[in-house]
Amino acid sequence: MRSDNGVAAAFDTPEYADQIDRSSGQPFWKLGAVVEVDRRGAQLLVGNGDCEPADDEAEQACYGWKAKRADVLLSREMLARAIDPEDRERFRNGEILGYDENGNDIPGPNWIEPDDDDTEEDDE
Amino acid sequence: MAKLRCKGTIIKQTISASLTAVAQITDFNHDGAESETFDATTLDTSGAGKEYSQTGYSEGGNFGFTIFYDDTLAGHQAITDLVTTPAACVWNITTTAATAAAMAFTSAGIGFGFTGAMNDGLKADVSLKITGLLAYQT
Repeated sequence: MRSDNGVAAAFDTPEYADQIDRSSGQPFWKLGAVVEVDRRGAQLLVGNGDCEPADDEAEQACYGWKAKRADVLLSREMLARAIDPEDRERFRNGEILGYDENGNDIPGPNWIEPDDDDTEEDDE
Repeated sequence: MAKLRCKGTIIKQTISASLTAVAQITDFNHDGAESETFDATTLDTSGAGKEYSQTGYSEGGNFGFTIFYDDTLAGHQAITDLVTTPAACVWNITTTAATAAAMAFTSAGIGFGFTGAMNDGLKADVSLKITGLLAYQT
C-alpha cells in the first residue's frame, strides 16, 4: 500500500491499527501496509497503482499487473501531486514536478523557461 | 480570509480499503444542500407574510464532477462499479486551503454518463446523491 492512501472507514479497525498513520490528523496507510480485500478490490487497488499484490492469491487476482506498471505508477504519481490534466504532458516530460502552495509550477529537471513573449508583460 | 484556487483540489473515492484520488477531473460542483422547512403559517398569523419553521432535517444534496473518461483506468472502473453494483461510497474533498482538512461525504446513489465530441476528449459526468450531510468545515 502507498502511504498517501487514506484508510477506508471499514478498515479503520483495531486489526489494522499498527498499519495506520494518524500523524496528519487523518488515517493514512503506512507504506507497505498489507490489507486483506476481495478480488475486485485487489484488482482496482493494484490497477490504480495504490498497491502491489502481497501474496500468490493476490497475484492471481491481478494477473498481468506488471505490464505497463511504469505507466500506472506515473499516472498514480500525477494523482498524488494533483497535476492538472493540461499539465500532464509537461509532468511526463520532466518539465514540472508539481505546484507550490501558490499554484505555481515547481520546475523539474527538464524545465523550459517561458518564452520572451510570455515574460514581456512582466518586464514592462 | 482567502480566495482558494481550484487547481490542486483533490477528490478521493473509496476503493476497497483505500481512499484514493480520482483521476482527470476537470470540474466539480456541490448543490442542493438545504435545511428543510415546513409551512408554519396559521389562520391567526399576523400580517401577510407566510411563516416557515425548521423540521430539524437537512437535505445533503448532490456532488458532481466531470472527468476525462478512461475506461481502462482502474479508478474510473471503480466509479462505474457503483452503477453496476450499487453501494454506498465514502468520498473526500480536500481544497487548496493551507489548513484544509478533508470534507467527507457518503454517496448513496450515482449517476453516470459520458459524451464525445469532435472537438473534445471523451468526457464523463458523475453525479452523486449524498446521504446524510457533507462534513463541512466549521
